[in-house]
Amino acid sequence: MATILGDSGGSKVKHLALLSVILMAATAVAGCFGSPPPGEKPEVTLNGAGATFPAPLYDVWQGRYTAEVDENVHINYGGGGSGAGITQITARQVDWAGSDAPMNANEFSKAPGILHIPSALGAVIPIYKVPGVGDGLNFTAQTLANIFNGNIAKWDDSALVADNPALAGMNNDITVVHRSDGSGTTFVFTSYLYKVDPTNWTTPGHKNWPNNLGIGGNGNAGVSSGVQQNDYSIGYVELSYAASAGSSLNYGRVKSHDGAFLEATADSTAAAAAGLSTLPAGDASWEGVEILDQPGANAYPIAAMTYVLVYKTQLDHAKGTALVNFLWWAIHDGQSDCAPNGYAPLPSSAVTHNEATLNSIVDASGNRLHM
Amino acid sequence: MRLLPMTHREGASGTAPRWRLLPRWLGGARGARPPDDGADPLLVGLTGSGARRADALFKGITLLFAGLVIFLVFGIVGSLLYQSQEAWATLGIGALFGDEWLPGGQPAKFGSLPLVWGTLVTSFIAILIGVPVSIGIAIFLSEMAPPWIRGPVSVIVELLAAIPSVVYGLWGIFFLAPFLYDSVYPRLQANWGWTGLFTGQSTGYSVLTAGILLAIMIIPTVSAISREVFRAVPASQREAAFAIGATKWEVVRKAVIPYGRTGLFGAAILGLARAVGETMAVTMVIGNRNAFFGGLLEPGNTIPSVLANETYEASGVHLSALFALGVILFIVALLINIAARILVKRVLKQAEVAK
Amino acid sequence: MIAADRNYLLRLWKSRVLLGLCVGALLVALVPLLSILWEVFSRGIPVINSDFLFERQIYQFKEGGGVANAILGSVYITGLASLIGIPIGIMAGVYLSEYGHGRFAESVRFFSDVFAEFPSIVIGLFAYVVVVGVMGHFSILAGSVALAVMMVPIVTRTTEESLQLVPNSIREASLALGIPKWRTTLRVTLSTARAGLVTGAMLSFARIFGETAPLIVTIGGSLYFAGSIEDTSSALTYVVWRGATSGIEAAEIRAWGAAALLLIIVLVINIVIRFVTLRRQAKGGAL
Repeated sequence: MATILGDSGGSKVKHLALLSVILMAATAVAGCFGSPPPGEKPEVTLNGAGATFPAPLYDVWQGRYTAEVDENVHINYGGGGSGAGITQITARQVDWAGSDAPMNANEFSKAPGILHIPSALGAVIPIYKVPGVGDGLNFTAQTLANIFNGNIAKWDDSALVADNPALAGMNNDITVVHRSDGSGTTFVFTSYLYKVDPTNWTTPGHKNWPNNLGIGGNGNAGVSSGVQQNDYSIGYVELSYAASAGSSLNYGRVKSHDGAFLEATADSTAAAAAGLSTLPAGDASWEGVEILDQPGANAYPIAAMTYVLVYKTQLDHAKGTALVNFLWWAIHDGQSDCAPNGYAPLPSSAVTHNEATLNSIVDASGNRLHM
Repeated sequence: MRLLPMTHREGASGTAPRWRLLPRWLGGARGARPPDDGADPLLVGLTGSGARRADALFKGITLLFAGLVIFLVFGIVGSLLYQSQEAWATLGIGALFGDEWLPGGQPAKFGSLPLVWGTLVTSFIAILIGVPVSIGIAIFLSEMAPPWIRGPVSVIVELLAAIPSVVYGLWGIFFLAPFLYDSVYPRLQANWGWTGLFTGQSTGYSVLTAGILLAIMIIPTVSAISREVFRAVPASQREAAFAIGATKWEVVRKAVIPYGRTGLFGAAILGLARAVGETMAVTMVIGNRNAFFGGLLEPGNTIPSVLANETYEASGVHLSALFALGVILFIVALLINIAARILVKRVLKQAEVAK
Repeated sequence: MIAADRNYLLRLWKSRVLLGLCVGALLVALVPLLSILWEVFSRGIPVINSDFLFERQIYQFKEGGGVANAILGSVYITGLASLIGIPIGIMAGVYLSEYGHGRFAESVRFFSDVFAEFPSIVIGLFAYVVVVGVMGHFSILAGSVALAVMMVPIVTRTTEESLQLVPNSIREASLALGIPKWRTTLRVTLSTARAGLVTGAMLSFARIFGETAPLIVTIGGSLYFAGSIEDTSSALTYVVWRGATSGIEAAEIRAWGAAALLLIIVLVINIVIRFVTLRRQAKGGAL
């Protein structure tokens, strides 16, 4: 590219820079047209989004499924909260969604043909970071309701000290950490507070946190890091998040229906589902289904099922087949991953129920997808 | 291939006088068209009318792209306005300027004032801390430093500008916030509590932390512009001051700075504009609390931070209200920007004239 | 004697103290810089090994794999953005420099300057509406569009500046030889200024390589290598953001490693640019 004045003496560095920019641009273009080499099974990508409550479990599942069962299925789960999951599956922006809150009547009417498939059981626990205090503080629905609505403002409040002598003299303000996004975890937590203590917690369960007290965090992860970052704070997350935070925060016990202060474990969570009798049909509304505050010596009170939301009619045959196979694996083989990761497996009645739901999924021509 | 174009005068095809080359209906002679001299097609656009046409075409193409820049600006603003229509219509200006942002409340509230307040306070802290430091650096570089230091030091200061804002946020979360919370804030509350600025439960993830982080981030920009402003001050001003016995500082304070006052003000405002629009670093350390804060050591929130956090999952009126926030933010940033540009240009022009 | 004048001594000391404060100001800027470099490199570099660089991310919440898909994502997204944004910027810069003497050009300059300081999240919102809204899902294309839009004003400005530095004598010489203006601009002026153009392109590339906010609402995140521009993808900045705000140790470790990589890449590009610019200036003048 000589000019009429001759080469202006560009240095090698400049040429190198230009070359690298061109190379990068070229890779970008090449990437646009990439495709698997001939002969291999085409890759299927299943994009999911939604509740962060089961996200660690789905994370383990996608890793295992791709490694052990079918490496051509790419499963992504995006998080964003149950609210985002419901919004996105309604708009068909994702292939599958997660939500801990069943769709309410309004949402259900906007997503005709949606199926609710419970995938696992989980527990919502109170987490806190109080210098000098370890795991195992005792909470009741009343103390929790009053802390999270601002009535109890300090750690040495008499109601707290009554259950926790260790808190006496701790005259520090409580920093509340709640969800800032539309959250099924919030739905479970607030439904519990409303069910057991409607006097102090006056708003029915909802995905959206009803006040501006304290700090808001995005996702279970946001609440977890919010508590980790602030002394004298308290929040609520799914059990698995406490385990993965290690010693940076502590979690407490909640008083059960029968009166004992229980810690959330796989057993106590599973015990909460012991009384689960009839479940709605997969394509019906699941509004109102809950396993909160159940009677039982070992039944953890803030337990919930978490749901996978998919459409009964899958428009893409390959994706639909992959999805159905993945979900079938999840409710059978995948259940063994629940307990070690801070969840509890589904009761066998729910598994059987799910099998019927999965078998009802068809493709655009009406052919059943699960073989 | 000949690079230089052939002119008709050179007689590529004989010596037909020019009028004969006109088209027949304009009076040209039949058959006077110069025969095809095997002209190189690559010379098209290089000679005569072809060149003029090509020139016009080229100018038109570049004009189109330049116009694209303006089009993009209006497109962005337009899309913001369009998407926020629903919010303006259903919520009304009153609600959008209410004092609580609670999209999940029952009923949902979309009052932007706490966020606007948070944006302004963090930016204000940023320039309160960042501008004096930047001017100090600019003074050092332009008035004090020996020439061999200037290059490397200005490179190092500009490295601050190269660091991605998410890395600032990462450092803020795991280093700055805990450090301030452990070592600085208790002293602030103890010794300076009388100012009333540090009330409330202090936390590392607060408005002041965000302001400090922003201050660090705007230093490279403001100091670079300040240096330009100082450089534009004619040597005669300094020399005159030295001549009447001023100390070096007095020269700076009484001769240089007043001369470049407008430009420094413009630099500060530009820093303010950057601080207002900064998203990632702020959202990672500000504590994300969508309400008015009592003291600077409490958590708060800013408009860009809320946009980053909530857009992903918002829909309906909530999403529309977020776009309305975007419009508000844009207007604020635009006004600040315009003011800064005018001021800086004015001072630099003054300098040109004075020289 | 002046030195004996007490007032003068006072002023002299005052001057020294205040100028010392200016040096102090410099330190105030340097300390965070050093701290950032130290923290990021000391925590991040140990994380970087061959697995980290070449394996895709396997889990969001656990350790395993690396950030290869994020590196590739960053390269794709910024590469595509450059492909879109740099030509537009160069063409606009050419117009401003070669033809821009009127009111239209002034307004283009004005809007371009203002544009360059737009909050990046607002541009992300724009791409969210225009690309994600139309396509129905997150994608690399959406992220690239957002970043390309951010590049345009920077490249326009640097192109115009570089072209302005080309002495008019060169243009005039070319025109005197009969070379039409369009060819002069393309073949002569642009070639002469190409060092400046490359610098501008590299500068804008480095700037958008480190952007995060527009990506949050456009690319969607993924654990896999993106196959086409319609796929969702991860990116280095995205990994840093996710990890830092997750509260989960495995993700935080990944974030430090990604941040170290990011810093290395961005700093190298910036240092190369400075080095090239200084050498050019040392050679004498812009050429």
